[in-house]
Amino acid sequence: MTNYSRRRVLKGTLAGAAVTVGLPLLDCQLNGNGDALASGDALPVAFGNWYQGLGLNPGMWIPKKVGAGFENNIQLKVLDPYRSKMNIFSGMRYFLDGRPHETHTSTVEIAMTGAVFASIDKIGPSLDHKIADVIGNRTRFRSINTSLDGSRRSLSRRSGTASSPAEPVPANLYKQLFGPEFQDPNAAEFSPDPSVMARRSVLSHVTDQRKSLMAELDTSDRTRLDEYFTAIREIEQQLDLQMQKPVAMPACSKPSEMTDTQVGSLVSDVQKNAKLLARLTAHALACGQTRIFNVTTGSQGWRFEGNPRGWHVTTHEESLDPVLGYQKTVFKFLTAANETFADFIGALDGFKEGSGTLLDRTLVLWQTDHGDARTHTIEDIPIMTLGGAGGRIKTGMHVRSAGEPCCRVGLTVQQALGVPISAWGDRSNQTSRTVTEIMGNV
Amino acid sequence: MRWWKAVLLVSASLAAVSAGPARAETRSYVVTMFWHALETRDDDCPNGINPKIEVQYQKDLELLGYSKGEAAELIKQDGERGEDSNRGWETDKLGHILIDRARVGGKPVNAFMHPYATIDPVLITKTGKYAHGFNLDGKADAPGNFQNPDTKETGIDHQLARVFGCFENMRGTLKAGSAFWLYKWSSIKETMPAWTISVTGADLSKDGPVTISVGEAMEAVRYNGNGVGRPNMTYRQDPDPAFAKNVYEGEIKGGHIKITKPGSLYMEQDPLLFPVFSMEKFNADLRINPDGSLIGLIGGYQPIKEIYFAVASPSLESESNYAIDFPGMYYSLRKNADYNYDAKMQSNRNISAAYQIMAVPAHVAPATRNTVTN
Amino acid sequence: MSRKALMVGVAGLVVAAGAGAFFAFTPHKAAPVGEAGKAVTRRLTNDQYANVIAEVFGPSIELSGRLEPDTRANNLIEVGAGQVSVSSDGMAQYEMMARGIASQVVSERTRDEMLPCKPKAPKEADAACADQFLTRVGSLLFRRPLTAEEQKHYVTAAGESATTLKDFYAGVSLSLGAMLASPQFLFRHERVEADPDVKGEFRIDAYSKASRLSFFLWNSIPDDTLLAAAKSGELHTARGLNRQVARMLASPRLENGVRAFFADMFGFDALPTLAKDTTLYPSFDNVTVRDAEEQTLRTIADVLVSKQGDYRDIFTTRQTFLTQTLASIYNVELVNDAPNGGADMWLPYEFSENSGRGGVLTHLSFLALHSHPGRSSPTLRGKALREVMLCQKVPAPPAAVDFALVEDTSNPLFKTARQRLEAHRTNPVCAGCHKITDPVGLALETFDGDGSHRDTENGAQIDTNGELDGIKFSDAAGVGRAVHDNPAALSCVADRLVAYGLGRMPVESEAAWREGLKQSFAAAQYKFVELMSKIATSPEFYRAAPPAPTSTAALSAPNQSGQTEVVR
Repeated sequence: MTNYSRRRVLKGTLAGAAVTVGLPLLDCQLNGNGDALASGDALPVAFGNWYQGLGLNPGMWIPKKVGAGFENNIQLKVLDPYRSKMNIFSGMRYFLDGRPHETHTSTVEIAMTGAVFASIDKIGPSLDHKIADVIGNRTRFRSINTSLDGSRRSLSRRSGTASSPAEPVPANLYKQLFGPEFQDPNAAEFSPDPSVMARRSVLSHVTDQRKSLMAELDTSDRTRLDEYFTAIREIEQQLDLQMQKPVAMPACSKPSEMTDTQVGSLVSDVQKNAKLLARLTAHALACGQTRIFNVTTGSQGWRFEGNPRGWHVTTHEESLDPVLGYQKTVFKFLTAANETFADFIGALDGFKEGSGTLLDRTLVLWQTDHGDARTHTIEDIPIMTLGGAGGRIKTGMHVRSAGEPCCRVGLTVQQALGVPISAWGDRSNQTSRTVTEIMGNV
Repeated sequence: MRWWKAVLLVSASLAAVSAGPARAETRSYVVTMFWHALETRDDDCPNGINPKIEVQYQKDLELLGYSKGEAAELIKQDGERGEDSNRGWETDKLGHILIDRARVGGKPVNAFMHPYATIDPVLITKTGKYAHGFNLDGKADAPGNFQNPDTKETGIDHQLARVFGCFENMRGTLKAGSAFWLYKWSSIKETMPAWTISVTGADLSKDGPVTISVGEAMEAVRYNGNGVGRPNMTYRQDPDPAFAKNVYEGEIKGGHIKITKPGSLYMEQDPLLFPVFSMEKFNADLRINPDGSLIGLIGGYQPIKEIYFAVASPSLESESNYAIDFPGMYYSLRKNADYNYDAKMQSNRNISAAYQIMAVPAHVAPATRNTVTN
Repeated sequence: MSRKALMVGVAGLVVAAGAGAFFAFTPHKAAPVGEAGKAVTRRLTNDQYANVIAEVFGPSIELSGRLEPDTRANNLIEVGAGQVSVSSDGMAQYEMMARGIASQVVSERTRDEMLPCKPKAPKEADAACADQFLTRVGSLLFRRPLTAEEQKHYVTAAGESATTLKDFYAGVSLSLGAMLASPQFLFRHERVEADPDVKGEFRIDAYSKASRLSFFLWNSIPDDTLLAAAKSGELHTARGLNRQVARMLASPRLENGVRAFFADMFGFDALPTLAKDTTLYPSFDNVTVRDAEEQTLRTIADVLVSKQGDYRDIFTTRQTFLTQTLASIYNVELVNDAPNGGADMWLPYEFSENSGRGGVLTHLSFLALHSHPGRSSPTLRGKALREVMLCQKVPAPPAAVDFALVEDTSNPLFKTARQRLEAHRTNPVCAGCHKITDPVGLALETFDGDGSHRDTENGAQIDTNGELDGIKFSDAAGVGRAVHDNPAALSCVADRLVAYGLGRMPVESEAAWREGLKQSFAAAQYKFVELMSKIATSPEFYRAAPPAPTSTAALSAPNQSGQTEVVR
């Protein structure tokens, strides 16, 4: 029977065309903690893209210490509960390469796609789409896009002409996710993907040639080739896994129904809705409905009650407080924004899955457009990641950089999540340098 | 500009150099930072600063003949539209009224283009004792003169400080700049043709007389990752003869490079900031830092027309212009202009001004034949 | 493995060229001069992988993935390539990249250009068309014709998948992807055969020879002419080999080969990850690093290939190429004559005589690579010069040495590196090695850690007197001249080039050959291309140890990949 080639076996399966392989997930297939399959395969990784315009206060977010064991600076103290699960990147910048500086626009384009948009037909997918291509194709929703300011705009786009809309209303998002079409991930029947089956079959042609190849080699080369075939075998095993029913979602539960809330750009509304959207996002991830989420904060228009001036306008108008040395109202906006973000992260980290939390298997990327909104700088841009992506990202680091492109972080995040790229970004924004300090087991 | 002119210029300047000191050396710089040199104090707008723009607009609308209630309603409706980049210009009712509030022959015209045809809203200007700048008229203590807050030098001519000094987003210090100017600069610095400064003297390591020339490059300033200008880059000199006249006698003294014999300056910039930047009695006092870079003031009498269009031309559409009633500012400029009286205008054409600049060492080379010029 | 011992004693079996079949070989007595070196199986380096894909499918194919990092052994990646395998993570990347390339090749945009035929029906399998394409591409990727077995495998796989997925091109794509993930592509396996001209000796077969030649001279796969010469047997004749080598040396692709060798020898793979303290060196960004590598490789290619020059000149020439970015760190004027505001351009540049610059040792690529992130290092530079350029071994510092004195650049008593190192050398444990490295490196101290020029350190004038193997010099340019005149530099580059070509360190039996190479290198006035030519045309270059014995145990070895069969 050992001579019976895997390829032939599969061929038999394939001959039956679209077979439905009903393999109920047995308890014994889960490990004791319920956070992974008994085989050791971890729960799937998830990605969150958080975009908040208008930067942070210069001098108030960069930790003094570089490397591990940093202390959060004043403005990011609110993220202290997650400090061991976060990374901060400072000293990176956007490059315009002689193109006009369209404030709040050029840099968003670089952050999301690695390039300043040249023309509508030359706009690449935003990085969440590239990640979704790898991890988002086996879920009910490829991604969920939300906005916090009531607008339907999101920064996620497939191309120049295909930009994803955002859902600002928690009650609507609830209906989409957990309405009648919601499928319990731990129950349904499952049909394997024929393209996976075909890949699996073709790969076995490579392994079938093992014998004739080995025959030509001496001992040391044989050992090396053995390692090669072991590696190939692991790919085959992954494909085998993909032909089985997907991983069970042990922590999945349906959130309680949501009623209508006031949506808009008042900070109090933003914060209220952000909490609800965070809860929905957490449940959606835990129930395997999606592995990607985008949050557009719409921070430009955020307002405080009784003040007609939005955050963005305030950055332009407010003078520096002579004593404090910064713009006072802007600081208040930033504090609110960081609280909102911390709340969102808290919702993920508060969601227990076995011995870990939802945040542990998620990677949230926090990006912004300017280093200092007041002066619209494109240098020393704050960037953060939160969550460990199931061990793919090491956390607890402050990485200080040499004015390198912000795309370094985008590249690292994409690589960590399995996007097959070696470089990312356009012209001077391009980099092939991964932030190796934070690369985990990819 | 055709190339042969460039060749003529180059040979002319070579001739000038060869006629000079036997062992002249030249050191060049590129300007990497630029903002209005203001030093605001708590007490220099005793009647308060200019009001928030919606208050100002209320006043402008009332001057146009709208009732208090009508004006308030227009402003309220506009506020509800929020800051949405998708909002259409077509539906921007308040915007249309405010932009077209000038009247020529009784017909509404663009107030930003024709500020003299609007009603003067009488904006608040700065008082106070202190300002940075130069003593341009040679008088130690003329009315309206300021005192330098650091050196205590008196007789400082800087009337532009009065015009700009009581707008919240223009207020700031020499060290920190102001939101308005930093925004302006950061939005053009990556693309505008760089300004260059060249200093020629017998031995630049010692105090002594020098020749200072200011020019424009064919390329934009290159910045490093930390936002500071990259030193020692090569910039091509724009051979336009208009810039060739920007040559001044000066000196190196006590770690400063100074112009000793002020003259005229003509520069061009990105239209977003200054389409033309010209000055009479152009002065400069730049400190040499230990790393070889420069920081200091330039100043002189600047045409108010150039200043006005520099700041007002983006109209309401630029995000830097949210906070200021520019057509109103025109009147402040005119009232405070202090040089070059024009009988027809019944006011001065130029106003004393000073700006803070920074510069890093650079190589400045003549443009070559292949260089495409305008 | 007692069987193996037995087989070594009697020699074993040989693989016939390209056929994948085996036949017995008559045992012979070993030659007394020592055993021939082993033919090494090398994994494609990252650069080679990229070159091959561009060569076979054109430059429009995007390589989107990360390959397993290259490994350096005995100072060369090309030697490391003969020792590495593939990790699981690395394999996943190779496989993903393979599928990415394959799907681009058969994409609707490019398929008509890439495939020599169209399927009868696009939604069905078409064995004839798949065969035509896969056989041709396979021979390029495997650098030899496919064996009948391989051909059958790949064509069948394409057919099966086409049927399953109802798409001819999807089938071809999957099969091509498998080919690109196969060991025959990823590993440059060299087949050994008995040399019919020299009884008792072995050589690599004709296709392996073609492949070794093309990677050695071009850093890529053989072209059709070279493959034809392998097929016809021309490569096995001295005249035929000479003709092919002469043709290859005249090709513009030679420059790729020369650049690849020096990038390897000079350790430029470390440049992309080189980081400097940005507070101290704010101009030293990643564009600078990228351009610094290119500057040196361009200079070398100019001297050695374009001008067919003397290897020694790369250590002294003041002629180079710069971009505006680089020029700013060298602090020299370099006019970009592009339209206004154009991107950086590469321009020829000659450093002035009094600039202190001359030769690759005064390039940023050397000075910055062999410095600390925040300061220069005479020791690191001296060590690199000896190890990289002269093939001398400098021992690592002993454990538990106090470096506080050297590292404290703010000590007012020791303002310059020379003073700090002198103080450090009072420790006799350290003095031995520092005597070897420092006198060379100290002459380069007028160049800071980022490679920029300086005359003083902490306000003190820098003394650039130095010495290398008895030659004294007083400035940085003198270091280059000393290397230029040092016989070790010539012997070193010849040895490195041999190891680079073979993919392993030379063995004892190759000593006489190497000595001969060095003599002819001298006779050719150290023209580097002549040295390449001499190596490539030597029969010794293709000589190999007898092939591996066929062990039945190995064939059915109970390893992980063979055993974990799951039948569903």
